[in-house]
Amino acid sequence: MALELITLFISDLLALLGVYTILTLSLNVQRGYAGIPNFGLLFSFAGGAYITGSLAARLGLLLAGVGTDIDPISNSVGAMAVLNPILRSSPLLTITLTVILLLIGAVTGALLGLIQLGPVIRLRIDYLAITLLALGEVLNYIATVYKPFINGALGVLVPDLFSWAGSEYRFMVATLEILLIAFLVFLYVEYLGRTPLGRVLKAIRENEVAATSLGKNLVTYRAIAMTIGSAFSGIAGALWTLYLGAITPSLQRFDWTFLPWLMIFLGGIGNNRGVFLGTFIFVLINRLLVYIKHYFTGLLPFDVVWFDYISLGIVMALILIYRPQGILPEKPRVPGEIKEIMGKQSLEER
Amino acid sequence: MIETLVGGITLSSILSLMAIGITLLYRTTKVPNFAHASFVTTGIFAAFTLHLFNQPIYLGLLLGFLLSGLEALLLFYLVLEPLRRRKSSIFILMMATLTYDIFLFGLINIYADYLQYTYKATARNIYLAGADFKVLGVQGITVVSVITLVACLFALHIFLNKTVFGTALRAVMENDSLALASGINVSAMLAISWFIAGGLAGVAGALLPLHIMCSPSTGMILIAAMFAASILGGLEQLYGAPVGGFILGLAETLLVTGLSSVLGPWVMTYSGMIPYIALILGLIFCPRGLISIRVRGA
Amino acid sequence: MLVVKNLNSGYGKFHILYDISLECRNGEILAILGPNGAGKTTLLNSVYGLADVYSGVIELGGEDITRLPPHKRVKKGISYVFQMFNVFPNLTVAENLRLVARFAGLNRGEIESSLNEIYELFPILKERQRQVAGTLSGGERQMLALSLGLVRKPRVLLLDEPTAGLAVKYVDTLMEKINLLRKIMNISIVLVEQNVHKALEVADRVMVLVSGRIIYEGTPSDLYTKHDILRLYLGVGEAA
Repeated sequence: MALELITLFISDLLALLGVYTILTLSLNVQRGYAGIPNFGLLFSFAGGAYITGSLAARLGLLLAGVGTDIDPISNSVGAMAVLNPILRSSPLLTITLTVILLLIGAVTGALLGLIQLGPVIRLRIDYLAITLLALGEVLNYIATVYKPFINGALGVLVPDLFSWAGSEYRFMVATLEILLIAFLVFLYVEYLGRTPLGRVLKAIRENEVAATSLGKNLVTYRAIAMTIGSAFSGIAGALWTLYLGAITPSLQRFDWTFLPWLMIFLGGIGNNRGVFLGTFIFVLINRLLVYIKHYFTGLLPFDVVWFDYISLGIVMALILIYRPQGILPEKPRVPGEIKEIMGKQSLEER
Repeated sequence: MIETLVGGITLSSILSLMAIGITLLYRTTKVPNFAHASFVTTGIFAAFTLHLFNQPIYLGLLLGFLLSGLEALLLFYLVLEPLRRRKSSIFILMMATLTYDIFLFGLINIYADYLQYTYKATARNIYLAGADFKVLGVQGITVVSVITLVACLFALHIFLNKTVFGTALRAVMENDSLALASGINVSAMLAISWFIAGGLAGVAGALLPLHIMCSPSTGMILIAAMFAASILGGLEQLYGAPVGGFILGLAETLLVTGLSSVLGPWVMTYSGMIPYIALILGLIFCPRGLISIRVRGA
Repeated sequence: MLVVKNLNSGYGKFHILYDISLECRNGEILAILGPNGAGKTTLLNSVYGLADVYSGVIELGGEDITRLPPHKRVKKGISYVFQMFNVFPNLTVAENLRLVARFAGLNRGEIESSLNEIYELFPILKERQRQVAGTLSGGERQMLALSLGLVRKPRVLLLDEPTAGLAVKYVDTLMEKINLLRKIMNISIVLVEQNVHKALEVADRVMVLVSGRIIYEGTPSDLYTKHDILRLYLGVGEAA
């Protein structure tokens, strides 16, 4: 019994870590590489999450070749009853569906990222922040009001894409798949930082005028960074919906915009390892606290979840004031050849 | 139709009070204040608490002003001033206001839970219109909100133009380094502007539950509208804020009612989109505000 | 009189000035010259209180002001005229002067007499007193900026490149006025300038800063003999 609990705790933690890592890496690409402070991360994330919620069952039924009158949106329970057994017996079908949905999530995220580009190009940072924040909220509003999307405030169930190895392994499979994708994203983002494109992006972040004088087209590069970053948020959103097995239009700014920023500030902006570190520390402490807080519920005249808001607010304020560069501040990357030429000593002087 | 207009006027007045604060802070501290959401919600709960303990609801104006003003002052001295001293970027300052908003949101929710648990109060569905008075068939809130707006604008005008501190504040808004060089204690002036702006948000919040249903999340829901009103009126001018407030407030009520009678009732459910649309379009097409459109070549 | 002893200052971890010592007596003009990035503006910022002082002392009339915030130093008698954004653009000339006078703590009578003195010194400002400051020409604006610095009758006047970007006739007029000032008001003037000739014409003493260090200190006439310094750091050829 205790072993089960611990396994559950660990796999839940890892799954959360995976999803948040993808999200913070995406934020890092946008902010750390291209200098776009995305206060509206919720927009792309929610986009990926909601579109998955909307299409998962429909696509599943389509791929399985099952004809049915059940509307997977208004009657998702019924639809799941039909779809899930089929999925459980066919790993191939499940995996295919998973990949397709993730791709759709990525594309949706990317498109939403492009929409955000409009304001990004024209607006100063303060106006930009307001716009992006507002955009983040719009999707929730539309999803709540337009019932055919994800059934309004009630939300929908999505097919269980993780039971293809047996339903007792559902959480383990889910966690492993999420971690795998997170790892791939991490590798890609690291790689991106070392490509000429990545270096240009970082240059733009440091000094716009200098970068333009080198003939680099700011707008194009920013667009690319934004699109790639947002695609990842979309994937994270899709994964979140699939992991939960359901989705409602109630994704909060706190969880999906503020917290990723907190993790980045904690670990270090611009620096993938730092970002991961921040995410890891945060998720670990958060999960531990959840179990501890559980003991307090009922003892206090209020819901313990609010402690999160207060304590994290304080932590963030402290970070902003005392260590805005994070635990692992970004060190300028000097390519190997140059290091040799300059000699290690003179570099350390800087 | 008249009812809609009246509702629109009430909403616009309250929105204007919120927008004035945002514009004021933007002009003095150069930062959009995301914590305004919680300053407003604090006002809501000030009114609600008074109502709960059978005190006159409109006393909430004073209580809300003081509480929210205090919250704003704390934000300035505890967080923003240290950041300013470190020459932090606007980005960090914005992040700080967002953080404080989250912090206050937690506190407010704890308070709401506490009220519900201890007093069985409906702290998550606050609607006090029933306790309002009526004057000539019009809800008291309409009259009070308009009068409050006018009074606040008037007081602000007197303060800024006829008092020493107000003039110093104007100097800070124009050119803060020169103000500093002229011997003005810029930090103290900024603190004053935060207190006033927060206070105005609290006043607006105290009026809200007499007009619409409120919850601890109301501030967060309305923040986009607050910014939209502020931006439409031109973030550069204080007196533009009420203009923006009225444009937005009337658009939301009149426009939606008008459109729905033409296009069908489904339009009504989307009325909440208007602030977002207005905000985004406003920022993209005329970030200097609608007021700037008529002034060409000046 | 302004005294600076062994000043080391900069911004955060950027150490700009190294071991700077100077003296500027009442009625004296001290010119600070040097190439760009030498730290001239940082020196003014340090005296005014906007830079981080790592070590050293700044004294005004014998009083140690090193730890005072800028607005308190202003009250003690330090006036800083910036290079740009040095007037309130949406107020008229008269309103600019009155505003600063009000904050200098002058009462109504003192404000009026101060304004009259300024108008005597700068007749052009009297002419333009109802004009909005943002619409003044460059030279007029600098004169207004200078006046704003003078309204509270400071003991020390810090000027950051007052003639930068001005038309020739304004440069001459402005320098004339600055020269006049030190006689009339007996104040210490620390003048940072790029225009070497003009600066040397009015200065009593001159200091050359390069990379945060003093490489020359003395009188203008002596500096004229140091051709290497003139050529290398101040961009002045043999025909000096």
